Amino acid sequence: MIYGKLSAAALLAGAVAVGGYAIAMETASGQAPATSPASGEALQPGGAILTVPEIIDQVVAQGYSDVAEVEREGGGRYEVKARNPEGRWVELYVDARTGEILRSEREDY
Amino acid sequence: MTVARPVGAAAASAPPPTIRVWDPLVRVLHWTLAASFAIAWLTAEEVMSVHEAAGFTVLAIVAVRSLWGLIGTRHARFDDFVPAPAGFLAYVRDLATGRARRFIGHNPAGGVMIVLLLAGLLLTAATGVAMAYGIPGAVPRGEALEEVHEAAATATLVLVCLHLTGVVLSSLLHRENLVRAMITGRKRP
Repeated sequence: MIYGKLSAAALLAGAVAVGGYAIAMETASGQAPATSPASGEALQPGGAILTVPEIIDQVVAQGYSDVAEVEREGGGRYEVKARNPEGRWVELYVDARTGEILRSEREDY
Repeated sequence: MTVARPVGAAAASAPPPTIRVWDPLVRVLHWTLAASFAIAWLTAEEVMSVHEAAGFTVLAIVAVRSLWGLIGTRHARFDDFVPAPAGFLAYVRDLATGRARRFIGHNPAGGVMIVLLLAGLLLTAATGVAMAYGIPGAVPRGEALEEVHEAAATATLVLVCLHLTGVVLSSLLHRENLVRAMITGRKRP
């Protein structure tokens, strides 16, 4: 019956896509390059999770201001809402161990 | 399919013969999935490392079960139990009039429930992954994503309750213990 094959194939494709994406993101954040942020502080690749004040320091040291929200996410990352050096509100994904900014996105919702 | 036959004089007192319906993988995945969903539900917003591990287990089981649904044993394959819309409606009509016939594998309503449950779990896991890692190439996550994740989990819990109701009703209707069948893998022919 075609419905059985279709539903099984759709579920399989969806699960593989979501799982593959999660594994790719996990692998990418684990291989964060150990470049120093502007503050010049020592990085801790694979080390301890930075505290919220440390994350704020790291983000401010990289030119961001008005840090409005810091939230610990899964996958070893923080989500930070702040103004970028151009003054625009952005949402940052920050590596929780190194303080490296993994992604910056316009805050538009 | 093996048939356990009582032999000789023992026949009178021996339990009736049963046939193997659910293969070991189907049973292990079923109970692991149930446990993982329960753990994920109970640890939500509490113990995030356990919650995420349970969620990834759910995701992996959805993948393996649907693959097994394509290439697995007879009653494990989705072909065996996912009905066409007309077949599903006919079964529900028979159910309402108390004339629903017994199926060795899943009945058509059970087949639809399996697809809905797996889809609900996949949507819950997908939105959970998006909360943790962001949506590729999309706007940053908002409260909306969290609400979809919670709504999907709640909807799945409602489906679980309907699933349990269906198991009890079907067991009573055909005088068999479907819960035990999912543990032992065996049913009367």
